[in-house]
Amino acid sequence: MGTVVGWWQILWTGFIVTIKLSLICSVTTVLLAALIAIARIHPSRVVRGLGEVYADVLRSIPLLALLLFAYYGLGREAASYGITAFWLAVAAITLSESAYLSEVYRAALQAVPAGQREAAASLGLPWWRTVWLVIAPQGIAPSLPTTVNAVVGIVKGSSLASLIAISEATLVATNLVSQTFQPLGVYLTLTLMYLVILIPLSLVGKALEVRFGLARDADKNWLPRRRPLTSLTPEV
Amino acid sequence: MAIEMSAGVPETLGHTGSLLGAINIGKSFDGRRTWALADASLTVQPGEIVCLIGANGSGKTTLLRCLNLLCTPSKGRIVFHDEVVGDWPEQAKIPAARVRDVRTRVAMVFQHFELFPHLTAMGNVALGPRHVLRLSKQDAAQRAMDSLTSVGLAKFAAKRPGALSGGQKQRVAIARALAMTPEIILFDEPTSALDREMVEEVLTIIATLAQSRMTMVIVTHELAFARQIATRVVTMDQGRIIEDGPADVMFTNPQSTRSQELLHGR
Amino acid sequence: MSTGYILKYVLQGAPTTLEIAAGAWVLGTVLGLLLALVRQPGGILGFSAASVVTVLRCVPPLVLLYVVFFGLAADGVAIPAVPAAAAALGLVEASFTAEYFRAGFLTVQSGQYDAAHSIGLSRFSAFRLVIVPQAFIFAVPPLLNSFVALLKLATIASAVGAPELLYRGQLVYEQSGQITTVVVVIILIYLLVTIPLTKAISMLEAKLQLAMR
Repeated sequence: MGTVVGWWQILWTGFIVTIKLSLICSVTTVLLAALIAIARIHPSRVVRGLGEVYADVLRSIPLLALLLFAYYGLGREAASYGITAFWLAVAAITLSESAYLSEVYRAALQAVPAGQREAAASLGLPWWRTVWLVIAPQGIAPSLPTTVNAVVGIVKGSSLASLIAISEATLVATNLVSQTFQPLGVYLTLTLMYLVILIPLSLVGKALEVRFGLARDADKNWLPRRRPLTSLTPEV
Repeated sequence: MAIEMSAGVPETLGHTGSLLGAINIGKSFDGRRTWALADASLTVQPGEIVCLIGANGSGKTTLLRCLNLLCTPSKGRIVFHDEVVGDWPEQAKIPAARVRDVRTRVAMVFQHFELFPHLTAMGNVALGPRHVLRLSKQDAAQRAMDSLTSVGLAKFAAKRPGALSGGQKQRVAIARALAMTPEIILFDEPTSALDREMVEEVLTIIATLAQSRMTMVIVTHELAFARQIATRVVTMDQGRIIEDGPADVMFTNPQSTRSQELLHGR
Repeated sequence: MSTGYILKYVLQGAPTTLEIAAGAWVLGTVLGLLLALVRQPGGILGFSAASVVTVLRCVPPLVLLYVVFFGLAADGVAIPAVPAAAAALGLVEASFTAEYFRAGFLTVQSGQYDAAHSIGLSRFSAFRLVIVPQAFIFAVPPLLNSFVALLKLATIASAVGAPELLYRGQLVYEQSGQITTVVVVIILIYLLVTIPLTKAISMLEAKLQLAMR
């Protein structure tokens, strides 16, 4: 048991990097996804098309592939500018996750009733101010649950960064295994630690879903409205 | 021909004096197979209160929405102060700035109010003055307050639309339109979405505006109200204008049977 | 090394990718359905099923793969890379499928229950004959979409040496050093497979929504 505690402490150093990576990626992903979503409701067909291409392409490329491309393709080049692999991972995760999230944000923006846009237009508001002052604020609340889920996805994605030598939790665990020769124990401990972080987050996401009465998953946007549960089964 | 200035009505020194006009407007939503509007013309002089009356689907709302370019005509011209704003179908895109300029001077009140739910009543009314008219925060707030006071809702300035009744919401919507000091206000069935009890409070506000000679075009089913305040009545059916005449004439002795049906107990 | 050679080399990983994705999909669908069914009636069992789903949703797939592949191997249970990947991804998939079926159950209008009861069906029969079939149909589009997602997720199997597309790509890059070509080839493969599939599924979904009104 003492060993497990020892492992816990070692793995924690990796989790610090995981958390740092995830936080930064969460911010950049949300911002980029919002930008793309707004582009996809732009009056100009060109801009809308660019946004659509971005979303389609980046949702089709596996995250691990993007990470490896960044690492092997740009690694040396980036290093000469002082950009570490950490930031390449940030870029790859951001590009990938924002493509999914932008779909959700786009749906939320389009869900704002058309009358709102008309009312704003009839006041003479230009398009971008309409989006900034009227449309986007109404799209935020329904998007919160999925944004939280996206953060969960980002944390899970951060584990892939271990494969490009970023010393986040999974890599630290792998190193630990090579020292202790106890893969099952170490990896189970690692799993437990991820659960400690992610289960609360995911529960927050569920609570928000119930609160805002909307359930959407980034890839699959057809889930129905959830009724507040009255059965015995808790909203886990 | 100068028009006497009174509250809400700006001076107009035009040759024909017309404020806003739709000329030979045609609108099709399905690639010219059916026409929601066919050869409809409506010109509004300053100080007029035009009531647009027709059955559902007669094209009256579409025509109204063409007037502030929310709806793009398939054919015809829109004229503002004797200047052609757009001429379809040859019309290329109208510069957005021109459209916005027209819209700051042509206000609209919607059937379903369309208040911005995430803003307070004050926020709703001050939005235009602040972000379109570029007033300072204080000036915009002041103007919003004045506007809300003029519709009797000063006490509700800090309330969100969700906390307001339908009648109050529509009054806020009217305040929002007034805060832009428009030259003309378009009303799209302003009381159709209201319960009976609340129709009165909104109609009272509109009547007050009528007294201060605000130019208005009102699409409505409220015949008694139209009879009370309209200076001119236009009847429509199936995308066409049937008849267009002074209110007193139209209400007592319309020419066409269709107008007769519409204006007397439809 | 010619582009054609690189392309062929990488494509040899396609069968493996498909095996992993298909295996995970089947496992995930079956397991997910079980979990959703167990969860339905509620109570302790329902809570447990829900907890399992939550846990599976909150573990990074790569970590789960390591647990299955390295963890069980040390315990004497040596599972080859491909089945291990299929198993691990199947568990991950199950957590999502369980949600799709559950959503399917919820979507079917409560009126359907009433209608079924009013012709005398027992609760269980009503469920079996009326609700489940409809829930299935609702669940088809997201299930298909998740297969496409699995095709992409299968890349993590490269971390344990399964010779799928990305792994082959890494190998051929090591041999040739031609990173750009390899990158373009892999991107094109995934684009040309996933985009048409996704669009086709959207069309199917639209048709289903129309039919199920």
